[in-house]
Amino acid sequence: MSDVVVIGSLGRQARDPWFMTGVSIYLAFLAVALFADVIAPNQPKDILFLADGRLANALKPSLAFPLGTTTSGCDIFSQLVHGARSALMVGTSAAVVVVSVGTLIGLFAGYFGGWLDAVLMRLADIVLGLPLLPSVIVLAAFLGPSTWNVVLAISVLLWPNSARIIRAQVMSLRERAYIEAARAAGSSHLSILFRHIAPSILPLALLFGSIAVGWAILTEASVSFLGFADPDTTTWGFMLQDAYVSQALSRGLFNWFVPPGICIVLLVSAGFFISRGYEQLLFPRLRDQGRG
Amino acid sequence: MAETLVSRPAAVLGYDVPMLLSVRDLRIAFHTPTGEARAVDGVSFDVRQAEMVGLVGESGCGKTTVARALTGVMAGNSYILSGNIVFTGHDILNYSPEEQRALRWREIAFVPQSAMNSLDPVYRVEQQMREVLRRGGIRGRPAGDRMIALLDMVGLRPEVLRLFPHQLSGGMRQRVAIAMALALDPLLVVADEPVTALDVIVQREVLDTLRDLQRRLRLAVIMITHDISVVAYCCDSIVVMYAGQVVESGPSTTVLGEPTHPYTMGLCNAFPDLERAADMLVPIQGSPPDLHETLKGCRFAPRCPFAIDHCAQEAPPLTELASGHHVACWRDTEASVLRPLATKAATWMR
Amino acid sequence: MTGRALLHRLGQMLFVLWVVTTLLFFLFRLMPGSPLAAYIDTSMTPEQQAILMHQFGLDRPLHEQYVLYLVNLLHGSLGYSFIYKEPVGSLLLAALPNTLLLTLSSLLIAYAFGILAGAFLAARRGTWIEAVSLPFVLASRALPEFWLGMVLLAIFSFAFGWFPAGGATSPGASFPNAWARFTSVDFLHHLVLPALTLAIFLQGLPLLLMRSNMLEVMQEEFVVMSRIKGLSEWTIIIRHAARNALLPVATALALGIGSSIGGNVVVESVFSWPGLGRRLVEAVSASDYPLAQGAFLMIATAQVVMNCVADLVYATLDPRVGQR
Repeated sequence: MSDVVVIGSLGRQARDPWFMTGVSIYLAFLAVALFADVIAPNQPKDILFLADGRLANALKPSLAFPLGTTTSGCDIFSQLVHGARSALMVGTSAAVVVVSVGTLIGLFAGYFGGWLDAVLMRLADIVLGLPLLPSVIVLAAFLGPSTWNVVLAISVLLWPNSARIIRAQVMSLRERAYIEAARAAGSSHLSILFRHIAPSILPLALLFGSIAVGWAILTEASVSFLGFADPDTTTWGFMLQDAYVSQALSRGLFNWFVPPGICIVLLVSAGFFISRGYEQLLFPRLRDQGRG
Repeated sequence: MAETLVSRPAAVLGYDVPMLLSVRDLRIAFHTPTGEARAVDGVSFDVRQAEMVGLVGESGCGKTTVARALTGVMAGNSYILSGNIVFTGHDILNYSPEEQRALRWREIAFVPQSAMNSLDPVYRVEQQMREVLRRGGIRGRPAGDRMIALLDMVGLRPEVLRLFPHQLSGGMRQRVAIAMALALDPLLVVADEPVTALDVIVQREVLDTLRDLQRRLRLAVIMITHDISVVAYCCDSIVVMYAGQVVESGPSTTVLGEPTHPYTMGLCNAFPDLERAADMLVPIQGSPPDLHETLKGCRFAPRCPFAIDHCAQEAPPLTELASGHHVACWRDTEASVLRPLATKAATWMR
Repeated sequence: MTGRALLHRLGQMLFVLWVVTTLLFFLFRLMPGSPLAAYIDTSMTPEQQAILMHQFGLDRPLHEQYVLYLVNLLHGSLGYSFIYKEPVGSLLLAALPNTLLLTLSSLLIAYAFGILAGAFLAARRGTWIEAVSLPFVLASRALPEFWLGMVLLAIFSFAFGWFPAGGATSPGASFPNAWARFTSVDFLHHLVLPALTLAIFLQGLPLLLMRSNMLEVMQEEFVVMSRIKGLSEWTIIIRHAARNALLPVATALALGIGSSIGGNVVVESVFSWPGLGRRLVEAVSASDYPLAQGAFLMIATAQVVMNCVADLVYATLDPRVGQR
C-alpha cells in the first residue's frame, strides 16, 4: 500500500462513520477519565455506610448509587468511572511504547537490511513465539504487581507485530526515486530515515496504535482478573475479579460485573472501528510480501 | 487429427457465406463515480463463419466492452442500453441467464489478455481443463485424450497438464488459454489482446498458432487489439473503433491498403510493422474525448488534421463505400487525396 | 514444499524453542531468593533436597546446570511441584488433554461458523444485513473472554441452571479410562459453556478474514473467467472463490491453535477448567516455580510448534509457495 494512498485515505477516513464513531467513543471516555473526580460521587475504594450505620453492601442500583454497591460496600459507579482513567492510562502508555519501539525497529530493520535486519527479525520471531498472556503473567509476577510492570510486560511482547508491518513498508519505500535522490545529494542515512521515510509511515504507526490500545486494555484486564495486578489501583479488570471472587455471579449481581465489561468492549471496539479500513493491513501475517 | 475435431461443414470465405454474428447499433454505458459514461455508442459490425476479424482501437475506445458483451459477462457497473447481438440468427441479448450460460464456451469462447490471472492458481492445468470439458459432457478417458489433442494443437506437450499456472511461461500460458478456448469446439472465439503481454518473438509464434488453428478448424475469431500490425498480420477483416463507435470496417486488404478514415490512416503510421521495421512512427497527437459528456459532431474531429467545420457540427454516419467497406467520414470521397498527406509526419504536428 | 525449505522451517522452529527454554532457564534462576528456589521447596527433608540438588545439578557451575537442564527437559523431567508434591511432568500431562479438547472444540465451532458467516456476509455486501452485523462482529473481537464467560455463567448456569458452574467433570464422578471420560455426557456437558465462550470470542477473526478474502477473490480475473466459461455459480463460489479465500483462514487456524492454548488461561480460570492455563496461574500465584516453569514451557512449545505447522499448512495449500 503506497504511502500516498495511506495518507490520502486517512483524510477520507475522517468523514467515515466508523472513524467518527470510534473517535467519539474515545473522546467520551477521555472526558470521563479526566473528570473522574468530579463525576464520581465517591472514592472507588471507600467503604460506605448507610444513614442508619449499616454497611452499604450489595445494594441494588438507586439514585445514591447509580450502579449499586459491591459486597464490601464500595460504590460501583465510582469504581467504573475511575476505571476509565486506569484503562486509558494503561492502554495509551502501552500503545505508545509498543508503537514507538515497533516503529523504530521496523525503520532500522527495513532501511539498513543486512545483518541488523536478520538479527532484529529473529528477535521478533522469538517474541512472537511466546504466548502473550502467560508471558505477561510470569513477567508481572516477577517484576511485582504494579500497573507499570504490566505495561512494560505488554510492551515487550507486542512490538513485533508493528515492527514487521513497518519494516515491510520501509523496504518498499527505500527503493523510491526520491530516496535515491536524497542519497545522491549526500544526505546521511539517519536524516533520510527520519526526514523522508518516517513521515510516510506515521499514519500506519498511528493506526496500529489505535488497535494496540485495545489489546493493551484487554491484556491488562485479563491480568487483573487473574489477580496479578496492583491492588491499590481501580481497574475494570480488578472490578471483575472482585465480583467473581465475591460470588457476584451466583448472586446475580449483574449491575456489578456487566458494566465494566461493557466499558471494555466499547473502548476496545472504538480502536477497531477507527482502523477498520486498515484491518487487512494490520493483521499479522507470516508472508511479509502481503499475500492477498 | 485436429481436423476431425470439426464436425460442421467447411465454409468458403465469401460474401454469400452466412453471417455468424451481427452486432447492430450496440450501446453500452458504465456507472462511474463521475457519472454515466457511454463506452459503446452505436457499434455495428458483422462476423462471418471462419472469418478472423480484428477489432482495433486505442485503449478506452470500447473494444473490450464489446468483447465482454459478446461473452455475456460484463463488468458489474456496466449495462446494455440498446442494440442487438444476433448470433446464429438469434438475438442473444434477449436470452435468459440460463440460455446465455448454455451458450458460453460451447458456442462462444474467450481468450483473455493475461492468462496468468485468468487461471486459478491453486489448480493444475489438467484440473482446469477437465472442468471445462465436463461442461461439454466429456469426462474420464475421452477427456484425457482430448486434452492432449488440444495441447498438441497449440504446440504444447502433455507434460504441461501436470503444471500449475505459475510454473508456465507467458507464451505457454497464452497457448493453454487458447487450447482451453477450443475445448468445446466453439463457433466463435473472442480473443482480447491475446498477445499484448508477450514479447515480440513470442507474439509472432502465438499469432501463427492462432491463425493456423483458425484456418484449419474454420473458426470465427474476433481479435481485439490496439496494435494494428497484429491485425495486419493475420486478420481477414478489420473493424476500427474510436471513442465507442466504428469509424471504418471492411476487408483487411482494403482498409489497410486504402485507409479512408483519417484515424485509420493515423493508426497505420503509428505502429511498426511486425514484418518490417517502421521508418518513422507518427503518433496521433491528443487524446480521446471524455465519454461522460454528450458529444456533438464527429468524435475524432478535434484530433483530425483534415477536419472541416461540418465535422464539428454533425457526426458522419457509417456508410458503405464499396461492398463490405464501411466508413464514417464526411470526406470519404477525398480519401485518395488525403492518404498521401497522412503519411507525412508534418500533417499530424499541431 | 521442498525438502530443503521444510528442513529450514523446522530448524527455525527448533531455534526458537531453544531460545525460549534458555530464557526460562535464566529467568527462573533470577527468582527472588536463592537460585535453588526454582527447584527446591524448603519444606522438603534434607535428604530429598540433596537428591534434587544432585538431579538438577544445583551444586554444579552454571553451564553444567544448563546442560543438565536441557538433558532433563528432553527426558521430560521438569522438577517437582511444591504444591502437589508430584512430578511436574505428570501433572501437566494430565492437564494437557483438557486444554487441547477445549481449544480444539472451540476453534472448530468458531471457524466453522466464521467461515460460513464470512462467506455469507461477503455475498450480502452493501445490504443492511452487513451494516448491522459488522459492528457486532467487530465488538465480539473486543470482548474480554473472561467477562463473556462470567456473563454466560451467571445466566445459563446460575440463573437458569442449564449447565454446571465449573470444572471438567462433576465432583465424585469416575470413569474407567481417559477415553470414556472425554466422551462422557458429563464431560461434554461441562465443556459447553467454556467452549462456547471461547468460540464467540474467536469467531470474529475467521469471519472477517473470510469475508474480506471472498470480496477480493470475487474480483479476481480467474473468477470472472470462470463465469465466462459458463461454469455454474456453485462451482465458481465453492471450487474457485472459496478455495482461494480459505488459504489465509487455514493459516489463521493453525496460528489460532497455538495462541489459543496460551490465551485460554482466563477462560480456564473462570470455569475452573483443569487445563494447562489454570495450572500456570495456580503455580504463579503460589510461587510453585517448577510447575510454573513447566506449564509455561509446555504452552510456549505448543505455540511455537503450531506457528511452524501454520507455515507448512500454508505452503501445502498454496502451490506457489515453498518452491524455494
